Amino acid sequence: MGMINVSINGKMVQVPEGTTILEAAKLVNVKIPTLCHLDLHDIKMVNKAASCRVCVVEVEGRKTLAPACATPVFDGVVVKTDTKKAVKARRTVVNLLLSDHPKDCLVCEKNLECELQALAADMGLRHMKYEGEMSEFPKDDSSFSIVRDMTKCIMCRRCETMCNEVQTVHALSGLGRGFDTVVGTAFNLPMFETTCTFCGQCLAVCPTAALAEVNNVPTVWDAINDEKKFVVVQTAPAVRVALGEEFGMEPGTVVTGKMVAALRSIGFDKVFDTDFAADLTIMEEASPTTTETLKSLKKELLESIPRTGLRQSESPMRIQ
Amino acid sequence: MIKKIYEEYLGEPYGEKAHELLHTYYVPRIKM
Repeated sequence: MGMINVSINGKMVQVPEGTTILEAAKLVNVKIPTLCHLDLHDIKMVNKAASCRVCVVEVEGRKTLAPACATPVFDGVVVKTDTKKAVKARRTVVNLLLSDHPKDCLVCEKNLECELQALAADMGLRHMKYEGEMSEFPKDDSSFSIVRDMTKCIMCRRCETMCNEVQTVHALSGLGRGFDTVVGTAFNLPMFETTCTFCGQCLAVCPTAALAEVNNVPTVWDAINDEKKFVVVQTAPAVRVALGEEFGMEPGTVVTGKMVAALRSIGFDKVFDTDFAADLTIMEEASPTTTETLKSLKKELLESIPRTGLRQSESPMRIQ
Repeated sequence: MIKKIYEEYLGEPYGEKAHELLHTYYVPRIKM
């Protein structure tokens, strides 16, 4: 792949062909605001819907503004990211998004963690510039785990990419056209009646609170405050490793002791651990592969018959 | 504890008893 020369805000950089303006800008420490864009490097998943138009920039010789997240660079391209035209367009885009977004940020599930809110704050928007029609969709809280409030959807399509391309569940897709477009389920069925497996990956990538977790915290408090109840808590093995990061510790810090102590002071009567069952699962899940491999290896060595490949072992989930 | 439960109760990993108690099977649940 050939290297090409790119100029971003006057800074020269060499990038491989196929690089987007956004990626090239990152290399020279130029930040272009984005909203719908999502690059999960670890699993090589990129959401390139280019639907929000927050990342528009000026490209010399091009009449219209270009979305930096989905526009590949070409040799000799001259990009300017913060011209008056680009900044004005960006602010208009966010203002328009806000015009069709509920204004209940103070009591919203995603308050202070919302990407739309952060963007509006970064841009210093201080009043709602446009007032117009608002989308109206009923809240879908049919399932035990996911709440869908499509009035908060900004059509970034990250959830769709996650659900269809990464998880291959195909529960979510875009329905309708124009202003009525909504990310929904087949035949608008409630989540509970679809093929959704409630993996939660859609809400993990949702920039707003259009997709959110069912909040069970009040139920837990009620149980703890009920004097007649003996309340036990059981944590999954991963929590002790993931939790520390939320409290500003190095990612991966093991906080087993702190976690148990905290759960006790919250008021749980007993704290249980899933470790034992998890270990048992590992033994059982690893066994078919290990024993089969060992068996075929043994056979091969004993009989000295040249064979290629080992027998494919069955998954424990498939055995009846 | 894991070693003990295999020695005293479950027999060998992926064995008959372990299968009966710890494993499940999969059937597609297509809803449409």
